[in-house]
Amino acid sequence: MGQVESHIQTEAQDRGDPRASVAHWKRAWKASRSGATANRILREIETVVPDSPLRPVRLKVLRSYTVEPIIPWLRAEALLHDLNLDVDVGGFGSFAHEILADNSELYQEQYDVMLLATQTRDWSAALWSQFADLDPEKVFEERDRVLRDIETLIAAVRSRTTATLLVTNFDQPAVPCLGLADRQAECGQIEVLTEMNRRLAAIVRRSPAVHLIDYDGLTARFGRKEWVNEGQWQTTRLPVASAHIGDLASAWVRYLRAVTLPARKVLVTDLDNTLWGGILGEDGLNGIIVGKDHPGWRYREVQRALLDLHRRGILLAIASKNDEAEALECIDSHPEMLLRSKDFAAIRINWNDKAQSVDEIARELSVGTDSLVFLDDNPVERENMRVRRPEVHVLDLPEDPAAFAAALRDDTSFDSLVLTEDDRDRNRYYAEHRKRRAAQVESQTRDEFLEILAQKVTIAPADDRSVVRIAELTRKTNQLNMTTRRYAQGEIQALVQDKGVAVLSVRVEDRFGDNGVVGVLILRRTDARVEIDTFLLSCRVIGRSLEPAILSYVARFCEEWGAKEVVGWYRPTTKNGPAATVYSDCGFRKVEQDPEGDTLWRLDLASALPTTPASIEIHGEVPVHG
Amino acid sequence: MDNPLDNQVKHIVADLFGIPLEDVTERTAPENVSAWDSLQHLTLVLELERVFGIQMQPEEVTDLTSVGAIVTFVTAKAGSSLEV
Repeated sequence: MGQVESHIQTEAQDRGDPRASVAHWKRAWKASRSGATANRILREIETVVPDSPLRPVRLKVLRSYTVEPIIPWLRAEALLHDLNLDVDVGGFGSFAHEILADNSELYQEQYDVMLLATQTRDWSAALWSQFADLDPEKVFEERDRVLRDIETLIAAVRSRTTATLLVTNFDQPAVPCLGLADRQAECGQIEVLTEMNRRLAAIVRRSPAVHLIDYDGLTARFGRKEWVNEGQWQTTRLPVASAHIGDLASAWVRYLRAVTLPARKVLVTDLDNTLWGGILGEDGLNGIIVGKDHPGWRYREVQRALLDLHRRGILLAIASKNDEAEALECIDSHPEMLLRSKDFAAIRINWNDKAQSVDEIARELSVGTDSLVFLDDNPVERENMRVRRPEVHVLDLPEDPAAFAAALRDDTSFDSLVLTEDDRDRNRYYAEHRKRRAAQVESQTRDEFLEILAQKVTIAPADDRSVVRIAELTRKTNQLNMTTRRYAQGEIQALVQDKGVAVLSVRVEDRFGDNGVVGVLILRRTDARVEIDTFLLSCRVIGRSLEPAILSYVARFCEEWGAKEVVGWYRPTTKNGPAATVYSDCGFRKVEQDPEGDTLWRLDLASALPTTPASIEIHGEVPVHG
Repeated sequence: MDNPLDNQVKHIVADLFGIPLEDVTERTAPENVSAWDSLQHLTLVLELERVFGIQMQPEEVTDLTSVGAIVTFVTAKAGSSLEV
């Protein structure tokens, strides 16, 4: 035991490469998850902090129980997602005071995420173990009190910090106090706790940047009876048995990942022995295995899982080594296929290396290869992809195809805590996008294409509905993004409240459909000068001459806002090359360049302003002068 | 000394408390390791439970007063379950 891992440090130091160290830690952690491994890795992390490729995340755990032994697990697990968690733990059971006190130290620090970790029994002994003592009236009173208390805490955190808040919900006891009668009793314990979780979810839904951790679902998944070691709870206040510490840590990290990192966008799947059993080229359309009954259900389940992702707005693509005509015929005419070719946003069926196919798919869909997830039953293809395109997330698949669907559903790459309307509509956008491409190919000139598109741009101040999408765009948009500033939803919410800042959403419709909110403007005014803090456009609408139209609106907006000049930085990254000439193309002049290569551009509102191309219609209110 | 569990327990103690393996002896105990406080003792108990597949009663936890005591305890407990 420990032979391999004990050499991690020396080997990594020999290489002197922080990336190699991180890769070593990940391997060591996956090979042997334990408190000892976690502690050993965490001691080594301190030595490479300055050049760490890890993304730092500051987390505050506000808790009603003992979490200390869980923290090293949490930090080690977070490494798998390239997150370097810096964790502060609040006082034992003093979370309410910390959140509510006037001069609480909680708000002196800048945390990215706060986690309110509690259990039902910590909120109310009555609702947990003394339920049988209470008459319904008392039960409802207690239920309402707890919900009021937790709502007060959520509101306080929300009004005093921009940190994202994660709140665990109410767990149920393994055996309710009323025994068998509980589920049909008029006021049963399980029913009351279920109702509390429903109401807590509603509170969370209407609180920006607050999300629910389904703690009850977690204990149920691993078994409520086995989740806690009662003897340990009574003596140490640890809420989880030793066997489940890792499960708790990875569940929490899954939420932390979802609030700090963008979800991946595209799933690229293989065909043979992945979407169906057998090899199409050898077994033929009638010989492959897929269907509702045994044994084809295994592959049908994989297709069902893919279809669910598709419904959530994940794009599907195919990278397969097959004869294209034969494979497409199979997909569209096999009676048991759940997925059809129309469900795939990009298709590469050929004999090329799959690394090349994923490059082409990424280009066709205007996303980076780091937005891709790769699904393939063949371990050789998986390893090839890992080596050649390390930024592509390769799904670890079990041997048994019956377990493929579960592995797919359990993967964290597509996790997001909120489904926006845009997520649900994304696949429709891409279907329309294919029609736009066809129109583009047919048009003789660019102007002719823009004429056909007949774009209508609507620019509006951020509202409760659009803040989620705006924050998402700031975190996901890489290419046409002038400054690549990432904002959490809570931070956007705070900017909206700020009188000196305008947060605007840009919606684009055209002849082929509604693209939804595809752009963000964040403008900061200081006296007669407005700085463009953020100007970004989704890759969906790149290359459609929208930039001058939007900047001409910005000029008008700023004039009405009382400004004499507009300035904006261009901060180059490895990905935002398409944004490099936006300001110069629109009449801005370069006034400054800092040592990092960032350039500041200025537009004098008294001079010639950028003009909106004739084919683009633009709508938007301008602020009342002042 | 030939006890294979002995080496395993010492590895765990060394990794958890950040002390060199060669410094861990049977007499290594909370009073001579600064990192070995009551919370770390809990971490150690959880680790022993997981690694050796055992469950400890609260009374047993307080008896684990040194590495030597831990080895004796784990050998008895895990040994009996291994024979099943």
